[in-house]
Amino acid sequence: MTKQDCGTLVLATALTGIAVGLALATRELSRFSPVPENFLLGLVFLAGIALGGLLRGFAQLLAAILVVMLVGGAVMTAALLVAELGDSLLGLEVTLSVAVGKAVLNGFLFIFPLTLIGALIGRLFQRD
Amino acid sequence: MQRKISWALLGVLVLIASLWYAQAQWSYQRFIQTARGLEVQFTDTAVEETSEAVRVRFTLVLTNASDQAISVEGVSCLLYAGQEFLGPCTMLSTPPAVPARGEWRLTVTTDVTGHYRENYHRARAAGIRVKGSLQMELPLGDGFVKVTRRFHQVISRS
Repeated sequence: MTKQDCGTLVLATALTGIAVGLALATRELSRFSPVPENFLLGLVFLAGIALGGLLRGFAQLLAAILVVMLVGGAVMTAALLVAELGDSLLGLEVTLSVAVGKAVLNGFLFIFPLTLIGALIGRLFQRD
Repeated sequence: MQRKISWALLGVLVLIASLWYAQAQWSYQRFIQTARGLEVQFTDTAVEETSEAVRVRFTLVLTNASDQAISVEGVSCLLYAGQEFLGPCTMLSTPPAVPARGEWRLTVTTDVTGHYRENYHRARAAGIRVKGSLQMELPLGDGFVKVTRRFHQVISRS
Protein backbone atom coordinates (compact mmCIF):
# COMPACT_ATOMS: atom_id res chain seq x y z
CA MET A 1 0.00 0.00 0.00
CA THR A 2 1.60 3.22 -1.16
CA LYS A 3 1.55 6.51 0.69
CA GLN A 4 -0.93 7.86 -1.84
CA ASP A 5 -3.26 4.89 -1.33
CA CYS A 6 -3.09 5.46 2.40
CA GLY A 7 -3.98 9.14 1.95
CA THR A 8 -6.87 8.24 -0.35
CA LEU A 9 -8.17 5.72 2.17
CA VAL A 10 -8.07 8.19 5.06
CA LEU A 11 -9.57 11.12 3.15
CA ALA A 12 -12.26 9.08 1.40
CA THR A 13 -13.24 7.42 4.67
CA ALA A 14 -13.41 10.76 6.49
CA LEU A 15 -15.47 12.47 3.78
CA THR A 16 -17.86 9.52 3.47
CA GLY A 17 -18.26 9.43 7.26
CA ILE A 18 -19.08 13.14 7.36
CA ALA A 19 -21.61 12.93 4.50
CA VAL A 20 -23.26 9.83 5.93
CA GLY A 21 -23.34 11.16 9.51
CA LEU A 22 -24.91 14.48 8.51
CA ALA A 23 -27.45 12.79 6.21
CA LEU A 24 -28.59 10.41 8.94
CA ALA A 25 -28.71 13.17 11.56
CA THR A 26 -30.98 15.10 9.18
CA ARG A 27 -33.08 11.95 8.80
CA GLU A 28 -33.56 11.87 12.58
CA LEU A 29 -34.96 15.40 12.34
CA SER A 30 -37.22 14.19 9.53
CA ARG A 31 -40.12 16.53 10.34
CA PHE A 32 -37.81 19.47 9.84
CA SER A 33 -35.81 18.09 6.96
CA PRO A 34 -36.06 19.95 3.63
CA VAL A 35 -36.04 16.64 1.70
CA PRO A 36 -37.80 13.28 2.11
CA GLU A 37 -36.16 10.44 3.99
CA ASN A 38 -35.45 8.47 0.81
CA PHE A 39 -33.23 11.25 -0.53
CA LEU A 40 -31.11 11.07 2.60
CA LEU A 41 -30.77 7.31 2.38
CA GLY A 42 -29.96 7.75 -1.32
CA LEU A 43 -27.16 10.07 -0.32
CA VAL A 44 -25.70 7.37 1.93
CA PHE A 45 -25.89 4.93 -0.97
CA LEU A 46 -24.19 7.39 -3.36
CA ALA A 47 -21.44 7.98 -0.81
CA GLY A 48 -20.89 4.22 -0.85
CA ILE A 49 -20.61 4.27 -4.66
CA ALA A 50 -18.05 7.09 -4.50
CA LEU A 51 -16.09 5.21 -1.83
CA GLY A 52 -16.13 2.03 -3.92
CA GLY A 53 -14.80 3.98 -6.89
CA LEU A 54 -11.82 5.24 -4.89
CA LEU A 55 -10.54 2.22 -2.99
CA ARG A 56 -8.81 -0.86 -4.36
CA GLY A 57 -9.16 -4.29 -2.85
CA PHE A 58 -12.17 -5.75 -1.05
CA ALA A 59 -10.42 -5.98 2.31
CA GLN A 60 -9.52 -2.30 2.15
CA LEU A 61 -13.09 -1.45 1.23
CA LEU A 62 -14.58 -3.48 4.07
CA ALA A 63 -12.19 -1.92 6.57
CA ALA A 64 -13.05 1.54 5.22
CA ILE A 65 -16.79 0.88 5.59
CA LEU A 66 -16.33 -0.20 9.20
CA VAL A 67 -14.38 3.00 9.89
CA VAL A 68 -17.12 4.97 8.06
CA MET A 69 -19.60 3.46 10.52
CA LEU A 70 -17.53 4.83 13.40
CA VAL A 71 -16.85 8.25 11.84
CA GLY A 72 -20.44 8.55 10.61
CA GLY A 73 -21.74 7.57 14.04
CA ALA A 74 -19.50 10.17 15.72
CA VAL A 75 -20.59 12.90 13.29
CA MET A 76 -24.22 11.93 13.74
CA THR A 77 -23.90 11.96 17.54
CA ALA A 78 -22.32 15.43 17.44
CA ALA A 79 -24.94 16.72 14.99
CA LEU A 80 -27.80 15.39 17.13
CA LEU A 81 -26.21 16.83 20.28
CA VAL A 82 -26.12 20.26 18.63
CA ALA A 83 -29.82 19.92 17.74
CA GLU A 84 -30.97 18.52 21.08
CA LEU A 85 -28.94 20.79 23.30
CA GLY A 86 -30.71 23.77 21.72
CA ASP A 87 -33.86 22.27 23.19
CA SER A 88 -32.19 21.73 26.59
CA LEU A 89 -35.24 19.95 28.02
CA LEU A 90 -33.13 16.87 28.66
CA GLY A 91 -29.79 16.93 30.41
CA LEU A 92 -26.47 16.37 28.63
CA GLU A 93 -26.18 12.78 29.85
CA VAL A 94 -29.61 11.72 28.58
CA THR A 95 -29.16 13.61 25.31
CA LEU A 96 -25.79 11.98 24.74
CA SER A 97 -27.09 8.51 25.49
CA VAL A 98 -30.06 8.99 23.12
CA ALA A 99 -27.78 10.35 20.38
CA VAL A 100 -25.29 7.49 20.74
CA GLY A 101 -28.13 4.95 20.68
CA LYS A 102 -29.51 6.43 17.48
CA ALA A 103 -26.03 6.54 15.92
CA VAL A 104 -25.36 2.86 16.69
CA LEU A 105 -28.77 1.81 15.38
CA ASN A 106 -28.36 3.85 12.18
CA GLY A 107 -24.84 2.48 11.76
CA PHE A 108 -26.05 -1.10 11.58
CA LEU A 109 -29.37 -0.41 9.86
CA PHE A 110 -28.28 2.01 7.16
CA ILE A 111 -24.57 2.89 7.03
CA PHE A 112 -23.22 -0.64 6.80
CA PRO A 113 -25.66 -2.18 4.29
CA LEU A 114 -26.13 0.90 2.08
CA THR A 115 -22.46 1.85 1.81
CA LEU A 116 -21.48 -1.79 1.27
CA ILE A 117 -23.95 -2.28 -1.60
CA GLY A 118 -23.04 1.15 -2.99
CA ALA A 119 -19.31 0.42 -2.74
CA LEU A 120 -19.70 -2.91 -4.51
CA ILE A 121 -21.51 -1.13 -7.33
CA GLY A 122 -18.86 1.62 -7.28
CA ARG A 123 -16.15 -1.03 -7.73
CA LEU A 124 -17.78 -2.12 -10.98
CA PHE A 125 -16.94 1.29 -12.43
CA GLN A 126 -13.21 0.87 -11.73
CA ARG A 127 -11.55 0.21 -15.08
CA ASP A 128 -8.13 -1.11 -14.11
CA MET B 1 -10.76 10.33 -14.75
CA GLN B 2 -12.76 7.70 -12.89
CA ARG B 3 -11.21 8.68 -9.58
CA LYS B 4 -11.78 12.37 -10.23
CA ILE B 5 -15.50 11.69 -10.67
CA SER B 6 -15.58 9.73 -7.42
CA TRP B 7 -13.79 12.52 -5.55
CA ALA B 8 -16.13 15.12 -7.04
CA LEU B 9 -19.17 13.02 -6.12
CA LEU B 10 -17.91 12.64 -2.55
CA GLY B 11 -17.26 16.38 -2.25
CA VAL B 12 -20.70 17.27 -3.61
CA LEU B 13 -22.35 14.78 -1.23
CA VAL B 14 -20.59 16.32 1.79
CA LEU B 15 -21.75 19.75 0.63
CA ILE B 16 -25.36 18.66 0.05
CA ALA B 17 -25.52 16.77 3.37
CA SER B 18 -24.17 19.85 5.21
CA LEU B 19 -26.72 22.07 3.52
CA TRP B 20 -29.67 19.79 4.30
CA TYR B 21 -28.53 19.39 7.89
CA ALA B 22 -28.19 23.16 8.31
CA GLN B 23 -31.68 23.69 6.90
CA ALA B 24 -33.18 21.01 9.18
CA GLN B 25 -31.36 22.47 12.17
CA TRP B 26 -32.62 25.99 11.36
CA SER B 27 -36.24 24.79 11.05
CA TYR B 28 -35.92 22.81 14.28
CA GLN B 29 -34.54 25.76 16.23
CA ARG B 30 -37.34 28.00 14.93
CA PHE B 31 -39.86 25.39 15.99
CA ILE B 32 -38.34 25.19 19.47
CA GLN B 33 -38.40 28.98 19.71
CA THR B 34 -42.11 29.05 18.85
CA ALA B 35 -42.87 26.25 21.31
CA ARG B 36 -40.97 28.05 24.06
CA GLY B 37 -43.13 31.12 23.49
CA LEU B 38 -46.17 29.18 24.67
CA GLU B 39 -47.01 29.18 28.33
CA VAL B 40 -49.92 27.60 30.16
CA GLN B 41 -51.03 29.15 33.43
CA PHE B 42 -53.89 28.67 35.86
CA THR B 43 -55.79 31.60 37.42
CA ASP B 44 -59.01 32.13 39.36
CA THR B 45 -58.92 28.65 40.84
CA ALA B 46 -61.54 27.53 43.33
CA VAL B 47 -63.14 24.41 44.78
CA GLU B 48 -66.59 25.03 46.26
CA GLU B 49 -68.57 22.41 48.11
CA THR B 50 -72.35 22.55 48.16
CA SER B 51 -74.87 20.03 49.38
CA GLU B 52 -75.36 18.64 45.86
CA ALA B 53 -72.02 18.97 44.13
CA VAL B 54 -68.40 19.94 44.33
CA ARG B 55 -67.74 22.76 41.90
CA VAL B 56 -64.24 23.07 40.48
CA ARG B 57 -63.43 26.33 38.71
CA PHE B 58 -60.28 27.53 37.04
CA THR B 59 -59.21 29.64 34.12
CA LEU B 60 -56.61 28.27 31.77
CA VAL B 61 -54.48 30.99 30.21
CA LEU B 62 -52.45 30.17 27.13
CA THR B 63 -49.93 32.89 26.40
CA ASN B 64 -48.35 33.03 22.97
CA ALA B 65 -45.14 35.07 23.12
CA SER B 66 -44.07 34.05 19.62
CA ASP B 67 -44.45 36.11 16.43
CA GLN B 68 -46.85 33.66 14.85
CA ALA B 69 -50.50 32.85 15.51
CA ILE B 70 -51.05 29.40 17.00
CA SER B 71 -54.23 27.45 16.40
CA VAL B 72 -55.47 25.38 19.29
CA GLU B 73 -57.13 22.17 18.14
CA GLY B 74 -58.48 21.01 21.46
CA VAL B 75 -58.21 20.98 25.23
CA SER B 76 -58.96 18.09 27.52
CA CYS B 77 -58.44 17.45 31.19
CA LEU B 78 -59.32 15.07 33.99
CA LEU B 79 -59.88 15.73 37.69
CA TYR B 80 -58.51 13.70 40.57
CA ALA B 81 -58.63 13.88 44.34
CA GLY B 82 -55.62 11.96 45.59
CA GLN B 83 -55.84 8.66 43.71
CA GLU B 84 -59.59 8.95 43.14
CA PHE B 85 -60.91 9.89 39.72
CA LEU B 86 -63.47 12.72 39.72
CA GLY B 87 -64.38 12.74 36.02
CA PRO B 88 -63.48 14.83 33.00
CA CYS B 89 -63.52 18.62 32.91
CA THR B 90 -66.47 20.35 31.28
CA MET B 91 -65.44 22.76 28.56
CA LEU B 92 -67.83 24.92 26.61
CA SER B 93 -65.54 27.09 24.53
CA THR B 94 -64.35 26.31 21.02
CA PRO B 95 -60.58 26.59 20.82
CA PRO B 96 -59.52 29.57 18.72
CA ALA B 97 -56.31 30.67 17.02
CA VAL B 98 -54.20 32.44 19.61
CA PRO B 99 -52.83 35.61 17.98
CA ALA B 100 -49.12 36.41 17.91
CA ARG B 101 -48.08 37.96 21.22
CA GLY B 102 -51.57 37.41 22.54
CA GLU B 103 -53.36 35.15 24.98
CA TRP B 104 -56.41 32.95 25.20
CA ARG B 105 -58.43 32.40 28.35
CA LEU B 106 -60.61 29.39 28.87
CA THR B 107 -62.81 29.31 31.94
CA VAL B 108 -63.58 25.78 33.03
CA THR B 109 -66.32 25.03 35.52
CA THR B 110 -67.03 21.42 36.37
CA ASP B 111 -69.61 20.11 38.83
CA VAL B 112 -68.51 16.87 40.45
CA THR B 113 -71.66 14.93 41.27
CA GLY B 114 -72.90 11.40 41.92
CA HIS B 115 -70.36 8.70 42.65
CA TYR B 116 -67.53 11.05 41.62
CA ARG B 117 -68.56 13.26 44.54
CA GLU B 118 -68.40 10.25 46.82
CA ASN B 119 -64.91 9.59 45.53
CA TYR B 120 -63.99 13.17 46.38
CA HIS B 121 -65.20 12.83 49.98
CA ARG B 122 -63.57 9.43 50.33
CA ALA B 123 -60.18 10.73 49.22
CA ARG B 124 -60.12 13.58 51.78
CA ALA B 125 -57.46 15.22 49.67
CA ALA B 126 -56.18 18.73 50.33
CA GLY B 127 -57.09 19.74 46.82
CA ILE B 128 -58.19 18.66 43.38
CA ARG B 129 -55.62 17.70 40.81
CA VAL B 130 -56.16 18.81 37.21
CA LYS B 131 -54.28 16.83 34.59
CA GLY B 132 -54.75 17.66 30.97
CA SER B 133 -53.35 18.61 27.63
CA LEU B 134 -53.65 21.19 24.89
CA GLN B 135 -53.43 20.04 21.29
CA MET B 136 -52.01 22.70 19.00
CA GLU B 137 -50.69 23.21 15.51
CA LEU B 138 -47.38 25.02 15.44
CA PRO B 139 -46.43 26.69 12.17
CA LEU B 140 -43.40 25.21 10.43
CA GLY B 141 -42.44 26.61 7.05
CA ASP B 142 -45.47 26.27 4.80
CA GLY B 143 -47.13 23.63 6.95
CA PHE B 144 -47.91 22.80 10.55
CA VAL B 145 -46.72 20.34 13.15
CA LYS B 146 -49.20 18.98 15.66
CA VAL B 147 -47.95 19.19 19.22
CA THR B 148 -49.35 18.46 22.65
CA ARG B 149 -48.61 20.57 25.72
CA ARG B 150 -49.43 18.84 28.97
CA PHE B 151 -50.42 20.69 32.11
CA HIS B 152 -50.84 19.74 35.73
CA GLN B 153 -52.17 21.77 38.64
CA VAL B 154 -53.47 21.21 42.15
CA ILE B 155 -56.40 23.41 43.13
CA SER B 156 -56.70 23.77 46.87
CA ARG B 157 -60.02 23.73 48.68
CA SER B 158 -61.47 27.25 49.15
